[in-house]
Amino acid sequence: MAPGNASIKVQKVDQWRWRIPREGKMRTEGLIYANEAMMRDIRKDQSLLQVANVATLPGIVGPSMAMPDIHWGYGFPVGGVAAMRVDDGVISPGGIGFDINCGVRMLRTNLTEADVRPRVERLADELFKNVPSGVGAEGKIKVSVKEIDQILVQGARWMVERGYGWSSDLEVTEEGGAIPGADPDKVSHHAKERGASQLGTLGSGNHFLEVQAVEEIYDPEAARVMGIEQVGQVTVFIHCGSRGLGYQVCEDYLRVMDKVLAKYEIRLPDRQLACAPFRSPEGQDYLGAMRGAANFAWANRQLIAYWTRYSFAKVFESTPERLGMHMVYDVAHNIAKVEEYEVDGKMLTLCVHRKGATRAFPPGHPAIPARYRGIGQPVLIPGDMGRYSYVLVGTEDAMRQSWGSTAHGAGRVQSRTAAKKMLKGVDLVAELAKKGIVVRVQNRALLAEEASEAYKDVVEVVNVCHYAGISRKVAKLRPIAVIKG
Amino acid sequence: MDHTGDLGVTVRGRSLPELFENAAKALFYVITDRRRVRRGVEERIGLEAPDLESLLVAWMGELLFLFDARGLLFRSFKVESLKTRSLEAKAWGEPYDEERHIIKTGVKAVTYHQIRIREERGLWNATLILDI
Repeated sequence: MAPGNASIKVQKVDQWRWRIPREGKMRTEGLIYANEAMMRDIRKDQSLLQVANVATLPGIVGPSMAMPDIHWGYGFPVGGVAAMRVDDGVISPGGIGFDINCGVRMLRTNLTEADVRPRVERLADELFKNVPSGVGAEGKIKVSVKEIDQILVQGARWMVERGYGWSSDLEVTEEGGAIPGADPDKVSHHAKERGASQLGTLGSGNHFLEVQAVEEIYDPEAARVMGIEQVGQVTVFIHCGSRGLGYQVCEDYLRVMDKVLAKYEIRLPDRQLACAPFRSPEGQDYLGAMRGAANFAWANRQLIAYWTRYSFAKVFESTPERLGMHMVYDVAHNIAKVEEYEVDGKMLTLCVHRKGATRAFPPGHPAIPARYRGIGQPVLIPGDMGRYSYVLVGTEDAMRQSWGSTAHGAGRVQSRTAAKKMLKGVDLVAELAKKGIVVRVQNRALLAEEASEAYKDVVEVVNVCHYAGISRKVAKLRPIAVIKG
Repeated sequence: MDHTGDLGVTVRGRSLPELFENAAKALFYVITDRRRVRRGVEERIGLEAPDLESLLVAWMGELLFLFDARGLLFRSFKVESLKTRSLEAKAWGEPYDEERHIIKTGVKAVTYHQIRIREERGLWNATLILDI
C-alpha cells in the first residue's frame, strides 16, 4: 500500500496556499488551499497523497487542487478540484463522488428570529414530519420508473411543472435545475429502483435541513441582491444529494471503468481512481448517467424546498408568497462540468471535477442568473451541525486560480467512530439546546458522529477561501433548528 | 481502523465461501442488530465480476442495494457456488420494520480501498472499508 502523507513534500506558497511539487508519475503539481494550522491536521490522513495521485491522471490541466476542507475520500480527496482536457483526458467517478450533486439550496424569508422563536418547536416538528430523513426513510411521493426517466432529464423543472415550487426557482438554480445531456438509458435499473422511493427525503449522515438566523452581514449590497436584508432574518439551508440513485450510478460506473483500464492503457496509483477517456463510450455513458443523477438531486431539493415552504406556511398561518420565501440559490458540490477556459492564450474545453467543492463564478459570467451578474454567483457553504454556515460570492480570482471553484463545507477531522467515542455519554441534543439550537433527528445514536468536534472549523475554511481570493464573504448564518437523518 | 467518514472491517473465514458469508454478516452487523432480524424472506443472488476482489465488492454492493431499494435486512447467508469470477448465494432476512429493528449506521457504499483477500495459515481474511 502506498506510503502515508509523511513522505509527501509540501512547500509553502503563501499564507493560504501550499504546493506539492511534481515528481514521479505526477503530470502536474498539487495545490492545497489551507492555513498553517490546517496543514498540520491535513497531514494526518492520506489526503495529500490523494492530491498527488490525482495529479497522475491523463489529460490533467493546471494543478491537482484541494480546498481547505480537504479530507480523505474515494480516490480523489473530498475538497478536490481537477480539470482534464475533454479531447485526451479522463473522467473519473471518484472525482465527483458517490453522492452525485450533493449540494445546498437556500431559501430566504421575511421572518425574523423573534418571529420564529415562539413557534420553533412546532416548526421543527412540522419540518421533521414533512421532510423524511434517516436510513430507510421513504418519500411522500412515489414515482414510476417511467417518471424517473423524465426526472433524470428534466430535473427540478419536472417538479415545478407539477406544482412543487415556483418557476422562478429554476432561474436561481445552478444549470436551471436540469443539466443538458442526461441519458436515462445509461442509468441502471438498480439505480432507478433505489431512487424511486427516496424523492423528497434528506438522507442521513451529514445531510440536513437547517433553519437559520443571519448573524452578520459582510457585504450589505450583495446580500440585498440575494434578499438578505438584516441581521436576525430567518433563512433556510437544505443540504442533500441524489440519494441511493446517485450512489448506485457511481458504483455501477466504477465497476465498468475498472474493467476497461487495461483497454485504454491507463495505469493508476490507486484503483479507486478508476476512470475512462472522456471521449470513450464508457466515459460518455458515465457522463450521461452522472448528469441524470445530478438532475435527480435537483428535483429532490426542489421537492424538499416545496415541503419546507409548506411547513413554514402552516406553522405561521400564512402562505409561502406572503412569507417571502424565495430561493436565493442552489449549488452542486459533487459534480463534473464541461467548461471553457483560456489557457496560455488558447481556449480549452475542460471537464472540471469538483468533489466537495463548489463552483464560484465571478460577476459578469453568462452562466449565472442575470440578477447576480452584478455581484457574482452565490456560494452556499454549510457548517456542521452546531456552527455557522456562510453565504459568499464567486470571484474573478477563482476563475484564474481554481477553475472557478471554492470550498463546500467544513470537512471531517475525526472519523465517525472516534467522534462517537469522544462524545460517549454526552447528550448532544441537550448540548445543542443550550446553544439555542432545536434538533430533530431520526437516529439519536448517529448524532455524535455529526458533532461539531468531528469537523474542521468552517470559520477557518471560509476565511482561507476569502483571503486566498477564491470567494468573498457576504453573510454568516447561525442555526436555530436542524432536521437530520 | 479509522478513516474519516469510513469504517474498516476485517473479516475471516475457513474457506472463501465462508469469508463471503462473514463479510455479509459484518455488513449487517454494522447496519443493524442482526438478532432482531427474522428469516422471513429468501433472496437468490447471482453475480459476475472480473476478479475475486471485485466479486466481494459486488456481493456487498448487491446486499446494500437490496437494503436501500427494497428495505431488506438480512441475518444469514449461504454461498452456494463461488468461482474467481462468479458467485451464487442465498440470503435470508425480512423488510425493515422501524418498530422492531434498530439502524445503527447507514452504510452508503463498499469501497475498493485496501481490499485484499489473502489466505494465511488456512484462514482466509479480507479488509473492507465501508463508506458510512
